[in-house]
Amino acid sequence: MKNSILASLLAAGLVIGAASPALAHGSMKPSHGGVVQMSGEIMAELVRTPKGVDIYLTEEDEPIAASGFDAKLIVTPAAGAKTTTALKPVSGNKLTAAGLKLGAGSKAVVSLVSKKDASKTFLTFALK
Amino acid sequence: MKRKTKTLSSALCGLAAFAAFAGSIPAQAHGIWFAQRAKQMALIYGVGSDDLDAVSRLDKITSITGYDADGQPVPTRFRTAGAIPVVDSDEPLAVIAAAMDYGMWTKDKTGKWHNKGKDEVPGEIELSEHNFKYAVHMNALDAKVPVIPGHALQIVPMGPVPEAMGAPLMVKALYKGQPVAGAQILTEYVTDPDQVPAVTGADGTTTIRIRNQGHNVVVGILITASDAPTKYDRMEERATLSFVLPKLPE
Repeated sequence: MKNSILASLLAAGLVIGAASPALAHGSMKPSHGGVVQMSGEIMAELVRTPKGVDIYLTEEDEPIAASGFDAKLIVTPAAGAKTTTALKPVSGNKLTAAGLKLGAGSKAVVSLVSKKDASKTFLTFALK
Repeated sequence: MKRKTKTLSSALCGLAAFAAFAGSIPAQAHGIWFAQRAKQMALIYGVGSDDLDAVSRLDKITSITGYDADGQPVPTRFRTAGAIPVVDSDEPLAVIAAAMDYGMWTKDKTGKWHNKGKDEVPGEIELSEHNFKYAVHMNALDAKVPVIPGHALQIVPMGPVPEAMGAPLMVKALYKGQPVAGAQILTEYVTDPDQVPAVTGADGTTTIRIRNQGHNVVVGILITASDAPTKYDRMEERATLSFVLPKLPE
């Protein structure tokens, strides 16, 4: 009897558990009013400002040092040629491309090369 | 023109017959494919769960090519990262491809393999062949896979790859860019390397069921006649097509 109750409870638990989302490795919610993309465990938030384009980097919800990467932004506009602009670390987890404007319909790729091990991460944004 | 088509068709039928005959003879089973390692795309050399030393075999790579989402070539190379070769490009890739000339291999009567032609191996010969290995990886399930220069054998999906394991996927084997009959197709090279292969029909196609809700490595094997009969009896072309089915969002 006890065993059958336990079995039923376990079965119910398994069903509920199966329907629940697993633990996330990082929030996909923007923190600076921009748009976000994730690659592997790195999340980048792209923010268009009057002064240019800012990128904020996090990993598993923790900021990661922008100075740890050689970074650039590769932009393919809706019409026109592809351009590449260096992203410079400002402070903390923030990179910036001062003066850069991104038009609607353009595709922007954040390219990050780790200074530690040369591993590469690409995050692609389709901008509205 | 009609005559040319007929000649090509006869040649392909002959090739298929050779493939069906030769396919019953076991050969060296190792292949190359791409898989993610520590967030990077790595070249793997092995078979099944054997993930062998690919770095020391990089000198056998004859080409690496990358294509963006529009099918345009992107400069791509390998970078050695410790024990593994990783794909290095300055832009994201939709399709990555590599070719390897693994050289001549001759098996003597004692079962020992020699990395040389049969004319250089004393005594009786059990098998001699020239091995070529190819790998193509799709970073998106709807990526357009072009005919890759330098890949004598290529496995291409007929349309977008379905997102769910168990779904049917029609693939086509291309030999020198043309559909080829008689190519053996294994659904999954890493998790089921010993399965009985499907064989492509006259139009070069066969339909498989996708095995994994994750990384998949489909492999095609084609045995062709020797282009240097004094050195080896046959050529083995071994081509992988890898892709990843998505998991549920975390």
